[in-house]
Amino acid sequence: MLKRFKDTFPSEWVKYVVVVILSVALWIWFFGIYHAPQEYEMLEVFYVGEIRDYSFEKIAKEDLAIEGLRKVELNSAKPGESAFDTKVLMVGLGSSDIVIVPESLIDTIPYKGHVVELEQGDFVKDGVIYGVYLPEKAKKSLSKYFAFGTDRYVVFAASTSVNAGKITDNSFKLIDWLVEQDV
Amino acid sequence: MILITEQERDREEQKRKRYLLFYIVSACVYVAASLLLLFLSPLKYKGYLVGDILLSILFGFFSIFFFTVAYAFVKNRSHLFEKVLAALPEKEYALFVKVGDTITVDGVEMRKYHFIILGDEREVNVLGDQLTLEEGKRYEVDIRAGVLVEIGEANA
Repeated sequence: MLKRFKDTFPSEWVKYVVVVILSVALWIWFFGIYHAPQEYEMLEVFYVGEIRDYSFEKIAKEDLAIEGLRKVELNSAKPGESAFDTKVLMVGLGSSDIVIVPESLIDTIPYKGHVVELEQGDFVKDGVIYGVYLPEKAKKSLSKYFAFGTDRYVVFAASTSVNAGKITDNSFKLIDWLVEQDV
Repeated sequence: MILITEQERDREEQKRKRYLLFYIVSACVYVAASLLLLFLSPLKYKGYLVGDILLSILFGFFSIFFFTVAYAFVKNRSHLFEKVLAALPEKEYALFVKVGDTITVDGVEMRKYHFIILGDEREVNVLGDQLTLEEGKRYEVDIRAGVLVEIGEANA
């Protein structure tokens, strides 16, 4: 048997290598899919502007310390980049949990109908509270992660999110945490 | 002396089926074990992932070895027996000349034996190494598909 193995090995060794590569790649993929966080186990922040430091994801997750929260993810769209409007609509308002927008661009974004009406907040339109202004001290504190301009920034809770009251209230907890940031 | 019998062919076929069954059972055990590791894995699953990777590599190596070495050997022998026993028998008197090289016919290792049959030297394939013949002696042979199936001393 050993002799036959030695005879066949020179022509079959590639198969052994393929087995190792496939085993590693497929199982990493399978485990990744099986343990992928559910919508209610993660929070996605969409920022209209430039992100400076993605360590925000780790810090926010640890600092929020919400039970069951496994991941905080950042996405962004810079004004002027290609497909900006589509990205804001599809990724920001369509699949994120909270959206941070500079006040000067608010009128270009179809937020009405796409964001949750809040009970408390200071961004009010037609008598409806749509969002919360990010206080200056919070802006200053968060500026190491987000490239804020001189504008005021508004935080919205996307209505498509399951974390805006449907399954969890984590979107609101994140908004509170952002607003309370102080250096 | 009968070298290849129908019983032996049946035994080889049974052996082939047993090997295949063993592989199927092993594959089921592997699949069950690896899925169990996946489904029982906690959020910090590194150990389980490594376990599944190692299990797959082991099973993959075993599969390659099984189909290229162990099972291939039994299957080739079984097919050869089938082919040889189904072929038309050629019963002749043959004068043994010498033992030749080892060759592989249909994946089965055999030895060439040189005979003089009907005035011409012919190579006949013989399974196994147990056959000892006397040079220059006449034998009665049964050859099928170029393989020696039966040999006996020729009556004077």
